[in-house]
Amino acid sequence: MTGRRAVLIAAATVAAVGCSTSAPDATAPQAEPKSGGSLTFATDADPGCLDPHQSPTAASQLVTRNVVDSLVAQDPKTLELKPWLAESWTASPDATSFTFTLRTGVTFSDGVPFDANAVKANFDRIVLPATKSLLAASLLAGYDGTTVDDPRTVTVKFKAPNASFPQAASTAFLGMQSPKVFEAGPEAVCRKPVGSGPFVAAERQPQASITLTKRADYNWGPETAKHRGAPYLDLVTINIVPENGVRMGSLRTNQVDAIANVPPKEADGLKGAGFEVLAKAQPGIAYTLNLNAAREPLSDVKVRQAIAKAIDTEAVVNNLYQGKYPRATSVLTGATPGYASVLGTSQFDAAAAERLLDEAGWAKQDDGTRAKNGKPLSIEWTFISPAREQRDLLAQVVQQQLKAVGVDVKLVPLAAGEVIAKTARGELQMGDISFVRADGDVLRTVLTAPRGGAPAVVAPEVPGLLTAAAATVDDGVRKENYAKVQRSLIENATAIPVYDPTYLLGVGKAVHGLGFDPQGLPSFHEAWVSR
Amino acid sequence: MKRPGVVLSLLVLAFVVACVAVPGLLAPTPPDRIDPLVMLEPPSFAHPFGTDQLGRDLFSRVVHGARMSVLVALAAASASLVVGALVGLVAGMLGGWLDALLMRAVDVLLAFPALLLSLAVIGILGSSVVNVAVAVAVAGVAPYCRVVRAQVLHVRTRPFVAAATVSGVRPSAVLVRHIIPNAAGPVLTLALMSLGVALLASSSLSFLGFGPRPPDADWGTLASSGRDYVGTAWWLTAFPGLMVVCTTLAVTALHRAVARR
Repeated sequence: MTGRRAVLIAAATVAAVGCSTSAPDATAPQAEPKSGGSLTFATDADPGCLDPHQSPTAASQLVTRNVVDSLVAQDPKTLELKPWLAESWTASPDATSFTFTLRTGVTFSDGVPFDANAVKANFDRIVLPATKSLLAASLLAGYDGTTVDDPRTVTVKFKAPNASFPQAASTAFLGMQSPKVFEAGPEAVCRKPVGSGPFVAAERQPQASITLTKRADYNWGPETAKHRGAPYLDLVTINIVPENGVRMGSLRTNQVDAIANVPPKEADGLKGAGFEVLAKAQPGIAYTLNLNAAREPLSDVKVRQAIAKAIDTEAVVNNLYQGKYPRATSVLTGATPGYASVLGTSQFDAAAAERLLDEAGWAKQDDGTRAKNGKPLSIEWTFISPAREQRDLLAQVVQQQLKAVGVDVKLVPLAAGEVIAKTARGELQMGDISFVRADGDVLRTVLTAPRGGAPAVVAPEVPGLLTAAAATVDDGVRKENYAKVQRSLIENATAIPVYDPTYLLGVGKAVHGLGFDPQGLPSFHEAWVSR
Repeated sequence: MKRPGVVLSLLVLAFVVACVAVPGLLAPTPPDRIDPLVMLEPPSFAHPFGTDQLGRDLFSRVVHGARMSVLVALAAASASLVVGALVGLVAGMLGGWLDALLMRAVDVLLAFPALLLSLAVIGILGSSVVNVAVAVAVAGVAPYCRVVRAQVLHVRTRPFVAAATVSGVRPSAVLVRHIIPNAAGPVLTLALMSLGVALLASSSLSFLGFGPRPPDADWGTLASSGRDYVGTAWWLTAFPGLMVVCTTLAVTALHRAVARR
């Protein structure tokens, strides 16, 4: 689903974070981390449900990643998988069965010990229809049950190969929660998830704030973390401040310590005022426009190609995002394993677009629009509102660019739920999506299950390529298949990649060690404040 | 010049009417022309109201947005007038249990704050420009019912109505020839004021995101889209907001002038 729903998995913790600006370590290279104190963070969206097994949103992940631990951790730099709650694991050669050896001495914050039975309870619960999982269950596609071999050994089985399962297990979506909370039902877990993470979800005021308190006896941080013990901060308050202007003002006046999603336009000004702006290119599906080949007039490949060529993505990225978000060169972002650069140069060519439309029989009228057999060339673009990352403005720019070649675009902003429902009914003509997950398998997640805004029709060989990629542990084969799928999407012009989403985090002067966790979201575990 | 306020109001309204009638003449720049070279420019000679996030000329957008804003307000105010006058007439003429029933229904309507009522209507009908007009109209019906009913009751007791009735004029003719013309004055004065209220209400609903779809924009959506830039680009919210304020003030000032006579 567009954007916010995101499996943010990826690459860059504290050390790797300096991709945009001075390395964060520069502010506190020698300083010894100080325990105690509190941090106030302003984010842009209310997370809604806080149960990672149910909610697919990044807003929810921001909270839950700090509350639940996973079996496996993904290294932020190398994207390698490292032990976390599982000390080691093995996969069967056909990638249908995975055996995990668990760490001992781990407890959930309600006192329940973490063991093999807890792992089974979690996975069994995720696939249960009553859980109403919007994403986690699809990561367990083909789940055939978990067997408890002994208290610290479990085997997870699948009916079909699922080679990317260990990576999926490193996301908070498949994070471990106390089996005791499941008894209270999905709604209760939405309000208050209970995990074994470094923080405990404490108070919550809907649409206002969420408080996380320190888990003092935490000492099972992932192998990928520099600091694996209890967090330095006693208290993290996450305020929900949807207006960009207010969030920026709160940071500038030191009312909050750090903010999510700095508008690209404001990034330089913020740096000039002595704040840090940390950028993290997100792995997964780039922000992509999708054309539904099942609907007239987009069933004609020439019309789709014309639209793809009429959109000047270079101009969009430079004007709207000041180049802070890179132009996408494939459906996958550059930071994703399996990425293949398909569009080394922009495919923008207005003259070619006009030619293709002429060939397809859409003749230009006197008023600049096009029509065929008396029917005007008009398509409807449904997108989620309120939009983030100025996607509503982007839509208006694209609308103008398409108008220039005679394609009339009607913009239909709808609430997220309505967009999903419309996609499910197959009514979407044009949609948009971005989706974060540090594995090429994200293509399978987006293309084979109905997702809001995703392409509904793909070339006939695509599902086979994706299934084959999921069935092998051979990275060469996977890379090749993912590259073929990416090329196919561009050739068929069902997908038009626009930009690689980039998380811009604004950080105040008193904050140190706040970076992106392996999932690509701000992580509070290693953060500390000097004041 | 005895009444500078009225003259000023008329000037403002003349400008607004010109915006509605011939926007292309006042602002030849197309309102949706994107120009990346002049993004977020402050007001200047070339762009009297500045430019927006996409380099579109804000003056042109405000001028072209007038039609949507004013027509929605006009439609809402007229619908309130027609429906409210009908209900008031029926209640006033027929009296009895129907009068009591209608007036209690009006009491219920009046019990809700107008904007809340409009939001409830939008919540039921869904958001579109037409529904914004309907929502504002529903919220504006109650005062008309009250005023028309009061006028009808007042006029009915006048001697000339009694005279017409006893000399055998049909009730419908009494209504059309005697009651309506004599009850109309205060109602039309109220209509002027409610036009201002309707403009304010429809702009508020647009500001909240229930208005026209991009790239079309009325004053409410224009002000709303500049919200994120209040600190850095004040003109984005200030000018569309000023247009709403000036037009509403002008209409209200005119209403007062008319009411005083």
